[in-house]
Amino acid sequence: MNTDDKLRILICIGGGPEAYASLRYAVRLSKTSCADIVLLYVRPLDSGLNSGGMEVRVARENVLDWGLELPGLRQLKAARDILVELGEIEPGEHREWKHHELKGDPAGEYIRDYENPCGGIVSLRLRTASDVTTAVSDEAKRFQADVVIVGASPEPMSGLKKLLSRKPLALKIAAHAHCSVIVARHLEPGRNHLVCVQDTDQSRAMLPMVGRYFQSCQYPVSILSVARTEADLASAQKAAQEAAQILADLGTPPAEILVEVGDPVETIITIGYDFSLILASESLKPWFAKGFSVSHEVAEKARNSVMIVK
Amino acid sequence: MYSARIVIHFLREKRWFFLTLAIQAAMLLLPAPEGVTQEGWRVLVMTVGATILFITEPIPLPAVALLIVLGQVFLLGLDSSLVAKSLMKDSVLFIMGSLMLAVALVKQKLDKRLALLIIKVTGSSTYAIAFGISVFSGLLASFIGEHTVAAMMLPVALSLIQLATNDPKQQRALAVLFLFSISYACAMAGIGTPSGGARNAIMIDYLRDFFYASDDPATYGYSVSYLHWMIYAYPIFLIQLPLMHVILRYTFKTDLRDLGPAVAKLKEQVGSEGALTGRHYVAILLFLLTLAGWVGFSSKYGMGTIAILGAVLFLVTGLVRWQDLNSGVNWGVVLLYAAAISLGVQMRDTGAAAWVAGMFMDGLAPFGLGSGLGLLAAIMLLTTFITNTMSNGAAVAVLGPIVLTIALATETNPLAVGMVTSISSAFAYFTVIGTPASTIVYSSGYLRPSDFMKVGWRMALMSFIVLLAASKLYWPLIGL
Repeated sequence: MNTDDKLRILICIGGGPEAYASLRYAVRLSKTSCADIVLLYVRPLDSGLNSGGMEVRVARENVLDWGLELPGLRQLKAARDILVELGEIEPGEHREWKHHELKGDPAGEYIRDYENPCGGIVSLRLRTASDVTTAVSDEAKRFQADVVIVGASPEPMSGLKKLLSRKPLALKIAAHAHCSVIVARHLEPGRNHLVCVQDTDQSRAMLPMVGRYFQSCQYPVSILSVARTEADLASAQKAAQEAAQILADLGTPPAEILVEVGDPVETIITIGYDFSLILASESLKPWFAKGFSVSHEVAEKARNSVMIVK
Repeated sequence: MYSARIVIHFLREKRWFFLTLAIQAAMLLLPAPEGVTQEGWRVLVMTVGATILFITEPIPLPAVALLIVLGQVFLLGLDSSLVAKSLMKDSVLFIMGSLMLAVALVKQKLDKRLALLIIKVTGSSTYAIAFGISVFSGLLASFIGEHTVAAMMLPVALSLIQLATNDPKQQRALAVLFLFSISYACAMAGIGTPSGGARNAIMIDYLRDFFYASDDPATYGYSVSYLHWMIYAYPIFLIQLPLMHVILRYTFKTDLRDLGPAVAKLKEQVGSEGALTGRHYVAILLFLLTLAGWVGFSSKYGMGTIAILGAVLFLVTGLVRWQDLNSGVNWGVVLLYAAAISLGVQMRDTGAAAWVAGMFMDGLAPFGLGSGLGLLAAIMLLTTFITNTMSNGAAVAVLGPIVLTIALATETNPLAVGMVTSISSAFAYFTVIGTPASTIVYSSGYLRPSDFMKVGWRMALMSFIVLLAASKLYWPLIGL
């Protein structure tokens, strides 16, 4: 992970409109810390038996020869146009796509860099990979990202559909990425952020990172601690007070402290609905069991955006 | 902790491979079912494993091919040299040669002239252009292979789409119309001639292997020539082509009825390329010579030899570099086809194909589909199902020995059964991976997998009806 003050934000483009909506949020984050932003589109590798033995690359090279754009570049340019509209990039800048061979596909991987007014880099990146989750995690490591933003379906899946469908990409990335991941739904700046804490080392460990994050974005913060039973109430109160003190010491005094009793997932989702973003610490469970942790369950079921802090 | 995560990640990525091994181990521990020899059962175990791995792709496909080779030596106890010999057939040479020809032709940049020709013929009406794209794609793909034509036509369609409008909705409406006009025309055309697709060459090899005997003139009909294949199959393609256009036209309607400005811009863009040069004439001449070789001499020298000769001529004349052929052809797929055909031969030799065929027939008999037209319809359905889950060449390689054994057992004309299998392997309209042309147009990023399902069932229904009608009415007329 990046250790200097500058935030590094990776936004996955291609999963639907939620990622485009997140750009506005990322720009707000970049205003104070002059963040570096990467817009990433991952295209699946197309090779082998499906193309009958002729590499699809031959067709792609032909497409490039006509001066046409590869799939993914259109989506990246649409995101770039939003950043121009928001004043993050100077309009009318003509930059060339630079070929960037990571997986040996000559017609696959391209980068186009821009500088924003404060000196941060905005980079459009097209990658090819057989597995999108692995490619996003790999790119996050290469970029030393602090935060990955990935769009999720606005309506979480339920019932039979949830049983039959594959696990959403956003949740897979949240489980595998080495850094914090925002599972974005209607992610708009403007409302407070809710930091969920517990009386655990893992929860305390996330607070310096959360403090750094809020110093960048300067959003008002609320703290929520949920006790499963009345007996756990004291522990929950202690966690909330400690968190408030740590964040205040880091220069982000919380606007309110909430302590509730009930099921943690349901309580966080219900209270968190009025916030721009819910933040919760990463589970210590292995990747295959993360789905049963509070933070990942919240990320899966919430109707708004959730950040899993790692 | 970190190494444990790596192991878990590896197991997760390769779960289908390990599951396949477990299924194979369980099958091998069971006694061979009644009616199949121990060797036949082992071949079936290998076939089940290979099919699961073809579909799920947990390991690189060339590795599946190599496992088939190893399985024949270690599980079946065959001599290594015999296994190596069984890998190389004329159909495999043909696949290699035609893939090299495909890359060589795409590299000639003839597509810009082709684009000018199409819009010159069709004018600027959207639906006329779509039909023109279908006709040109189909006629070319029936001779030079669908991947070649799809790769050449893709930029033509994308240029028109992007020049026509900036509105993403209208662009997509045009894209589904034009891109499916290419992919479905190419897929249908692939049935027209033996050089249209690897699956035809594989079926020709199977028919020859199973039924042809040089000392028996009664079996000479099973050595299907290029011209005979065309007589059997080309009219079926020609009937399907306009019907396909009608289906696409009514499934994917567009408000942009006239592409006059886009056509003018395209003419301006590609017109600067100038007239055909000597290099282009040589390329066209070489391809026409190869085609003439296939029609006139493939019975004597084999289609594969002539395809290789064509590729060599492109290399010798310097029209294409070896580096382009080497990077443009996926040699692992060639190896895969070779291994699949070799396994198919083992299915026949060990009696495994006969056993599976028997089970298939037992299942069909109660529904009155055990022979004649009913059997052809059942084979058509089975092939259509299989070809939508894996490439059409692999589907024919896997199914060929089984359906030909069924033909023998039910006294149904093996040629008709072979043709039906090969032709219906083109009915891969439902999925992106069904045919190479679909994969190539899907790579444009404009299509969604659901688009294939939306139009696929209409196309399949139309193709079923045309093929059944042809097998009932047309083939008996020409003595098939």
